[in-house]
Amino acid sequence: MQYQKLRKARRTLKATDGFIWHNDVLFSGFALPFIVVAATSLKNAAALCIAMLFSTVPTALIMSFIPVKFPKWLRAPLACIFSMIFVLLSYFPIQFISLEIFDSIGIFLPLVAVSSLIFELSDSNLHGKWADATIGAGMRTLGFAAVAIIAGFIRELLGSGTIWGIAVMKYKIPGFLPVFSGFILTAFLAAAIRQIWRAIMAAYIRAENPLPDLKEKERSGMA
Amino acid sequence: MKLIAREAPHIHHNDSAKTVMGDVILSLLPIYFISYCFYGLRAVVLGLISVVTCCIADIICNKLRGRRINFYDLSPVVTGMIIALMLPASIGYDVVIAAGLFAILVAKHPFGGVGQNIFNPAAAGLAFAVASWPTKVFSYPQLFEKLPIFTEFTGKLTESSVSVLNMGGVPLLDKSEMFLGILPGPMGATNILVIIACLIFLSYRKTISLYQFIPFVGGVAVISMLLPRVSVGAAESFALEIMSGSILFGGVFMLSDPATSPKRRFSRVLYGFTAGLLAMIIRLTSGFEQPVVFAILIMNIFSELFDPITDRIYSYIERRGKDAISKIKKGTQNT
Repeated sequence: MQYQKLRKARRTLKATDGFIWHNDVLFSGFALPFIVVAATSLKNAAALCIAMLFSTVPTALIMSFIPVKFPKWLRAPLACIFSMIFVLLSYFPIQFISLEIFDSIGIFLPLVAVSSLIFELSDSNLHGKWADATIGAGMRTLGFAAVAIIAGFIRELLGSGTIWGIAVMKYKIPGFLPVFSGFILTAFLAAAIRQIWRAIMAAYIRAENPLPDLKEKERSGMA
Repeated sequence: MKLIAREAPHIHHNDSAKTVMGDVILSLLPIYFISYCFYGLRAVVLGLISVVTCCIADIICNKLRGRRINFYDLSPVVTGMIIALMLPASIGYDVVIAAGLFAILVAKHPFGGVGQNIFNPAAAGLAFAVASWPTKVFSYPQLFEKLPIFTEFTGKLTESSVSVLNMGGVPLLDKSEMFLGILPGPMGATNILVIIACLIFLSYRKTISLYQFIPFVGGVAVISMLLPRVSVGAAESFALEIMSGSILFGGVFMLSDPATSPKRRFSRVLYGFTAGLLAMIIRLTSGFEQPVVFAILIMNIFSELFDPITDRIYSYIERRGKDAISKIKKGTQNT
């Protein structure tokens, strides 16, 4: 069997590492509480995405300049301190989303500073590679944002009958708002992305290795 | 010698999934008849809509999973029938459809489908309905009230005897009325006489295990007698609790799901007793009118643990027994 096209596709898709390929939320379960508990509306999801962007990208950039000899047990707390400063800065753009956004999200906004993504970034060995670190953190934030926006959209539309606070549907199923629905929805999204991924890989393999025409084979065998 | 190759299983029992589910469906039909007498055709239509929803969802899931559709698999029919019977007759069709879809699409097939599910699908669907529409699910129409079939019911809705007990009051009902189900409540869960008759039929057919049901009632009795919610005697408190709400219905039709129950006899005794205790504890602490649904879901999570625990208990008793026998033998030899 031939795998050249598949290998080329994987090399290309690896550039989206963190966004589509190996999405942190759907493949590794990082930053799950923000999706299942806090992302109950598009506004909440948008606020979390802004906070995550402010938290991860600058932190990853700064951590890439930290020397390799820096003690490992200090890297995570240091990353959290930087992340906390940047999350505080994110409050300025977030306040324009809604007046009640801080009450709506509650403690989950400051918790972004100590999310599992930050610990993962603090542990990554990208000293000196500031461009790779920044792009990687950006991709991971994009991945988180994609999941948060999809989850927030579905839960707000079906649970409250609104999109961005604007009523669009009379019928609503309040059961989409509690935490258990967040877990179930995230599980279905993880299953869906894996299925899509497998279908793409199978399509590449099949394009390079088409199935033999069985009827032709039988006819040639009989002849 | 001609050898014929066949797939396992090679030894067949008289009972199959079809006969077990068929027995349950047969036992649910009288309850639907009683519901029709109390609430009219809407009760039957609710059941039909629930069953059709569950069956269509099951077919779609089987197709998506690339499996052959087994028309002898009556489990979605049972799920649909149970869901409708645990809801008020005045409930909207959308609630029944949502509960049915949740039961099949979320609680059954993602975990492996029939026989592999961790959670009882009917219990999961009902829990979703309770979480989404608590006011609608716990408001009941009066008996013998004409309920419209095609439009929403706009008449007076009342509370069940469970909510009276939750508020610390004693339901102003005759025990015979409670026994015959002549009181507002879930469509099929109030008629205790019919449920007991169904229990006798199902235990005679060996579809459900009394090793699970009797300890379940025992667990309910322990809590209701030790911690009565109202100022009545222990026996009356137990009678009020067991005849109110859907505890008995859940114990007969949902607790005994073969896919989610333990296998060993002693495990089932422990499982049933714990489920009864948990159902009453949830009722006392949360005020939920259908605690049996949540108790069953919680017990489903731990049901796999009961068999290994029983194995350990048996092996411990066996070891101790062997040690005791050997000591006695040594003692008799010395004398």
